[in-house]
Amino acid sequence: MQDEDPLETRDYTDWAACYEIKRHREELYETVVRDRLRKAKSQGDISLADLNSPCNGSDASGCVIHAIVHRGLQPSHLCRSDSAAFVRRHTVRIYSRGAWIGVLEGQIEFDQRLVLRVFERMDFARQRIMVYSYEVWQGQQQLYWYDPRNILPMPAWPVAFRTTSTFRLTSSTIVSPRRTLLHPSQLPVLIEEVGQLLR
Amino acid sequence: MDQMTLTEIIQDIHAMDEELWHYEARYGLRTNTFTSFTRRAVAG
Repeated sequence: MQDEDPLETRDYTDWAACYEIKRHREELYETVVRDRLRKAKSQGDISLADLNSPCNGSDASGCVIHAIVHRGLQPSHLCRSDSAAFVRRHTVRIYSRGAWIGVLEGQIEFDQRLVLRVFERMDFARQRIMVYSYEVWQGQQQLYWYDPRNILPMPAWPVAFRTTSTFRLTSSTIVSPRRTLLHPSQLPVLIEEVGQLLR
Repeated sequence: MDQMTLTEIIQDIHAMDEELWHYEARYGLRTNTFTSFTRRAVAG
């Protein structure tokens, strides 16, 4: 399996993340139903509707992201005010997939044809970014990207995917460094970083 | 919304099923084949 193409790498990591989220929800479902049936058994008669009561809490950060999903993405969510001058326009949006899963994607355009492409799949229930992809382009040339596999939730992710330190664009000989992001930054940090290229 | 219901858990499962179908169609592989393949790659 090749991982030379960053888009394919994103697909593979997102594919694995979706599978992991599904498995998590299936396990959660089994646990909740088993517990509720056990409790119901001791109480006698039960309505199936009673099983569907809330079962899992969420803290404020999850609620904030939920609020963004439902109210729309504001410029203040994208960058600090001192970085705003670098941004010409953006197509970043957040939308929900399922009840407690969100996807953030789009691109942010800067001067000098610099573009930051972003993708994140978020699990609000566990307050985790399950997979991300951040790529910086200048025109048709990809300058660098952040390796999404560093936070891949799947423990059995292949070592083979980790071996390539460079990648090649399919139609050219451009080789770009892959960057490592050990702690996923928020967009303001990424935007500030691109802004430094313009200074 | 600050708590999860069984209905919401099921919604998440269905949503992830749709994503998995999308990737299966794109790459012509079932998800279990994909995960088996990646596990074998780990084992070498």
